[in-house]
Amino acid sequence: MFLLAASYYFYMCWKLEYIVLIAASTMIDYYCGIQMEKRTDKKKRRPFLLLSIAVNLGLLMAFKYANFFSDSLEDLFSKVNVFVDLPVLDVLLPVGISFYTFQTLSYSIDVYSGRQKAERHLGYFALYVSFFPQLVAGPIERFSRLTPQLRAAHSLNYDNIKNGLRLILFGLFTKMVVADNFAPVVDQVYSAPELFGSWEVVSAMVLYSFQIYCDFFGYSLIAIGSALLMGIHLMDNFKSPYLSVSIADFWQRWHISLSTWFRDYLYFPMGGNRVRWARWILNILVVFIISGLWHGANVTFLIWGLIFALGYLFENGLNRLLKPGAVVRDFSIKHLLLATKTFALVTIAWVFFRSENMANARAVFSSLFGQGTNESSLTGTSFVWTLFIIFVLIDLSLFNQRFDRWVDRQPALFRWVCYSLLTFAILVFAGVEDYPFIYFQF
Amino acid sequence: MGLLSKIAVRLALFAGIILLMNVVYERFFLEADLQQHSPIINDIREVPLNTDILYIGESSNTAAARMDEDKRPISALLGDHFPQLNVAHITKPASHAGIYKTLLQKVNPKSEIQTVVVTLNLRSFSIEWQHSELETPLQKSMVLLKEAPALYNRFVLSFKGYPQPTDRERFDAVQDYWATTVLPFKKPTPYNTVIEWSEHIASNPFRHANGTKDSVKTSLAIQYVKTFGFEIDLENNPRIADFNDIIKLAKKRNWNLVFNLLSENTEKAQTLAGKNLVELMEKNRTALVDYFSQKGVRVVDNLATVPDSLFMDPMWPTEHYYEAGRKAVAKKLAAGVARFHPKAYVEVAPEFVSRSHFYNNCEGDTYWWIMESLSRQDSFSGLRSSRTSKDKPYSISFDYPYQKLPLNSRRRVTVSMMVKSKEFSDRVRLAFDLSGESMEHLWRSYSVDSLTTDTQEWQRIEYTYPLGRRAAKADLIGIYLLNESDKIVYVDDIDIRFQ
Repeated sequence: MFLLAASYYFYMCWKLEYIVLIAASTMIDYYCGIQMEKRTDKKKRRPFLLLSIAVNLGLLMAFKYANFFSDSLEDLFSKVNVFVDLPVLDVLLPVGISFYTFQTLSYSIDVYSGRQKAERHLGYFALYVSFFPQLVAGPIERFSRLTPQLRAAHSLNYDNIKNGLRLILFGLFTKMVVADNFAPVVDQVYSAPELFGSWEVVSAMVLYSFQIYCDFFGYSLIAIGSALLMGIHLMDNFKSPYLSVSIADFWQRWHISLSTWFRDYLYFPMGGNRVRWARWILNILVVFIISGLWHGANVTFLIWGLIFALGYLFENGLNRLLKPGAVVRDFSIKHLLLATKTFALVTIAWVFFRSENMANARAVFSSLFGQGTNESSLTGTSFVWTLFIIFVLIDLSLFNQRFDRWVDRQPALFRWVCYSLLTFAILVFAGVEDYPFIYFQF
Repeated sequence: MGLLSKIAVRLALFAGIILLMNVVYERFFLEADLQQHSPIINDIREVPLNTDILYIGESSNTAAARMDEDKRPISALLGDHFPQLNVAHITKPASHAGIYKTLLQKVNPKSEIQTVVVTLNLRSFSIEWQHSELETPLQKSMVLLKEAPALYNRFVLSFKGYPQPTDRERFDAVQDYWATTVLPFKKPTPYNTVIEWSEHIASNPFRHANGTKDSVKTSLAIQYVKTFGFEIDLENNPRIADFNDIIKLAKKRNWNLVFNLLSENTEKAQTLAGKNLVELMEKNRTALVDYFSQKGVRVVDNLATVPDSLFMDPMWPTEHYYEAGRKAVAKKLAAGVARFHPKAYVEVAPEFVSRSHFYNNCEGDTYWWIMESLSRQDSFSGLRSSRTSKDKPYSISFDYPYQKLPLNSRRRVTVSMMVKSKEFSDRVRLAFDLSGESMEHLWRSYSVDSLTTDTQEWQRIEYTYPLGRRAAKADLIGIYLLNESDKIVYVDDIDIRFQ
């Protein structure tokens, strides 16, 4: 109960009145879960599932997409010379809404399909929805994985505290030192891409790929570490994604909790790859486009998702044709070439993710291909590139390993040197401009 | 070993490492951080040890008009009344007592300062200033200067440990005050709060002679009400607490303390919003003078010293005065400071002598226009030069009221200066700007490239521009370097001779 109160208090510190939304979502899904379980016939369960979906997605649509649809409709009408002024919702997007609505939806869907028994204890259910370390930006946890841990009794555990602090430390380093120092350089280019040359644009694109990775990865580590302090093990959200050998591999390593959510609750119910070829292509397009739009109500996110869909389909087609066989991730030339290819495609997609709108994205690509005026040059890059190299080396060293476990295997002196260097870097080299966590805006 | 003792040992070890980190940070990294985030430290360090009077204030000290013949700040004009004493200043735009106290704490303890003059800006007590958008960057720039271990301050800076209200929060705080705080008028009024007062003005607007609404004057009246329509809460206003901290610091450092209550445009306030507003301003003035006088501070009341005609900004309430206004403030201030330096005091300041030869070493003690271009990045002589770049293309600028030049020195002007750049393109130009009400604006520029040789080191350039009849009716002459190239160009040691 203390944890629930703390989680609610945590959320209310941001905006008091928005706690009503989490509470409402919690109550409705709690009720729907119990009602679904009382009915064995899926047809009788369906109305409650639909109620849960309607409430959760309704909240998401209202806060996140209402204005996007209004604007899009206005644009559409204007193309046929009909000018309408649709109402605009002037509200702040509730922090974490994309995450906790998906978390509760997963519960409702699991209860509906019989994979999960309904939770009878409102307190534990509410805690599952609002558990503060992962409330704001995930990882999106499954009920079956998180709630037993919340129910269990926990006592002070030295290993959990040690590993939790290690993760928090490393998370702060990746966010405050790496991501927040890359951000100003990226901003220079994206704020006026037409003024820069190809090299500057490439630099900004690569740095943004790492900025968003370090930003979100850093947050995830802090969230996982914070939960671990309390003895709760949250799922890993990243596994060296920029060493992926394909788009499919990338999505098993990037924002894992979201990609598995879409796989289990959208892709599989649509039939997955057990359908005819044309339907399968549609499934892929739908899943990636919706995952793009999940991030935000902007055409750029739609394009971002589409790039991944097309990349995935292309690679899949090529694999069917060439039958290249499994790739061993052993830092061989083949592995590195494939990783570079995947990184390049992902980096191109990130341009749309970062751009404010299509005009901005077009300007970036235009300058990438030499159409920029080249009148500006990037400032503050020597330190940034040094940091880039350091981080890449760290990431390579940690390939497929979590920092706390990796450091645990090192000698004591080495561990303490690591802690000291990371702490010193955070204290002395952290960016001083205000860069909120990127994924908080979703 | 028990769990708690295990943790305790590690915490102790970590604490020891942190202490070592602090030493390393101070030795190797602090200076770079100070230059990047708190460059005001340089101004503090440059206060000579033999300074007798230190003046600390905001832009009211240094703001000058292009047409001012004497562009010196109030602090320098104060120094004219104490010719045997050394007067230095620390000026930080948009700052207030909360900032001054941090800056004063960093003044070298070995300095011989006897008297500190602190500007007391009535406007800084207002709710608008307290919630100004400039406050966040100001507070950020003060973090590394706080009296705490250097590494701790850097930690606070990294973790954004200073107030960062959102635009919405600031707006709401100000609106709430304006809507709810009842103002203490002497006589009954149809309005009680700032919002009601503003609405009253809006519904009874000023009108032009032809009867149409004078929106500009009406908006200005509302702005004056919002700026000065408040009563200082001596118990709770954060500025009062800041000034009290300054008083404590002055006592500790054995400084005489003088507060310079700056001039506000009471004439305009009267015209725009009537006696009610002026009475509020005077009430606040009296409160401040009484409060601080009781604490042993000499408060010089300059509230109504400067008339409307000598305020530089007619469309916004500021404390920026023309030359005569700054001199009037300095004169009254000097009379107040004289209490602590009676033997050194000279009542009549020396007259500013008209001349034809001007020199600026770009160290910051000779006041021209665009002083903010001065930089420590490179210099030919001394510590500073004027730095120009694509973002800030104007060098320090000589702006002078043309008609004040001696008559026999208006045929030509020879400009000589040291310049440095990796490359001079045609987009780096020496500009001559002549303007006047009775003449067409004349702007001529000459490529610096044609005056330089092919070197990346400092080199002298010289150019003579013919004045003669075309300049005869000019009110203002401006001479500066304009850099629209993508290379940085430094300018130093500018010598201008009118012949």
